[in-house]
Amino acid sequence: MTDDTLLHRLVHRTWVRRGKPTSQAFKPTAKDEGRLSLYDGDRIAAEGAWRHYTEEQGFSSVGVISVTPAECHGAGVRVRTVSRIPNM
Amino acid sequence: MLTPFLRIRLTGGRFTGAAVPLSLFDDLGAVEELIIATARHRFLAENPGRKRAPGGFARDLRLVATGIAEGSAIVEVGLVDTTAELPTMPRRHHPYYEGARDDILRTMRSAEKGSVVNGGEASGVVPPEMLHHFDRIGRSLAREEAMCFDPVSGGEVATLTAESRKRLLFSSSVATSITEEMTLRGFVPEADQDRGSFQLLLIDGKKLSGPMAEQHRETVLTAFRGFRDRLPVQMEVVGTRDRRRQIVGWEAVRDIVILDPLDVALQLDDLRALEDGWLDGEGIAMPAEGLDWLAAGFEKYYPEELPLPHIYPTPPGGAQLEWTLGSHEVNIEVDLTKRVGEWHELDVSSGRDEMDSLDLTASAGWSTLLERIRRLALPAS
Repeated sequence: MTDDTLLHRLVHRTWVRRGKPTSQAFKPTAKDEGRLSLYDGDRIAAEGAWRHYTEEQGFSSVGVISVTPAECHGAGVRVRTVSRIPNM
Repeated sequence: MLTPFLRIRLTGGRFTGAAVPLSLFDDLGAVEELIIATARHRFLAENPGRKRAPGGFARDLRLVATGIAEGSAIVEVGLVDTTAELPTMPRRHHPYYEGARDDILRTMRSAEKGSVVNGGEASGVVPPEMLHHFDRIGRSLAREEAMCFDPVSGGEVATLTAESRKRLLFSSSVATSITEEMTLRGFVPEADQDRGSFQLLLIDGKKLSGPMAEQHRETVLTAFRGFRDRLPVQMEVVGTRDRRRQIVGWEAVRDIVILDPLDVALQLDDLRALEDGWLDGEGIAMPAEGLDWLAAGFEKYYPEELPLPHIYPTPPGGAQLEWTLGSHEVNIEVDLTKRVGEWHELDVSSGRDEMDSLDLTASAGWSTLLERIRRLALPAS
């Protein structure tokens, strides 16, 4: 993972209104267990992340928003890799 | 000859300060029709040999509003007998009218208590086949409003509310639907100029249809052309509900306006449908009363010149309001039960942010909110 790797966050349909997503999309929910979970763009593209999230995990999402580790560091947020997707 | 007949006291909401909305005169006309129909019914019940009421039964007597007094607004209704120029002349049909009034008030009182007495021949209540007259009486009554009918003769007062009116109508043996004044918001996917009708797509996906009056044609067609861009409208209508109390359409449109796509009430309508677990098993449904309160707060306090927020649900069942104002990202997380907003303002150009709580139960909290949005949205003013 480099500073420019895209980290994909899946967004629930109620969290996009007239094309504008809410900042809540980047707040951890209970299933994030206190740490915001994102897909590592070096290992899976946005479409693949969306398919995994919706089709394999059965969650709902209208799309993907991506940030980079550089942006996270700029906001004082640490990024670390924890693989939870089998066969990746 | 004029005889005092009925005193209708209007309480709550629109009726404060002895004000009687002009539209209420339609209701008073319907009260007269119900009294005549019930009086005729009484006449036939008490005169079993007669097949019809005598000529002039409805023509010789008229109900008139003789005055409007304070408290909160009182409409005095008199009975005019055009055949009795002198007080000594016989009052032929008066007893039937007075009996009809008493039957109607007795029926209304039973609806007030929770169940409508099932009328029969001369049983002292309005027969079920005539209860549909209430469709035109009190249909604009808001939740806090009431029409109190005082028989003047010293009898008991009967109160008609939106809820007791529904009970009366659903007890009718002939009414398949009821009408009431309501506000509808949605989009126009279809307009048929040939048939003079159009469809309204509600935010929950339900489609309603009804007539398109000539004076509303341009607005309807503008909304129809804007359908793909989700251009919303708001309509004040005489809406129709079926016996399951579901809205099925409208009889008439009183007003229709194009809404801002971010209209707060429209966005909140969208959030009403969320049920517990809406966020993949997490997420609490938003309380309906809290949504009503937030919509009313924006309607009361928020001026048109300020930009509207995007509104999203929060997992604990609150609402998050967000504005992008220049380099400032503002969000307010509103607790819809405690009615408190957590203000967070971030200047993305400097990284500086501010946070505090706004008590939105009082107008002071709303004033602070407006001042801050105004400062960020209209910095030159």
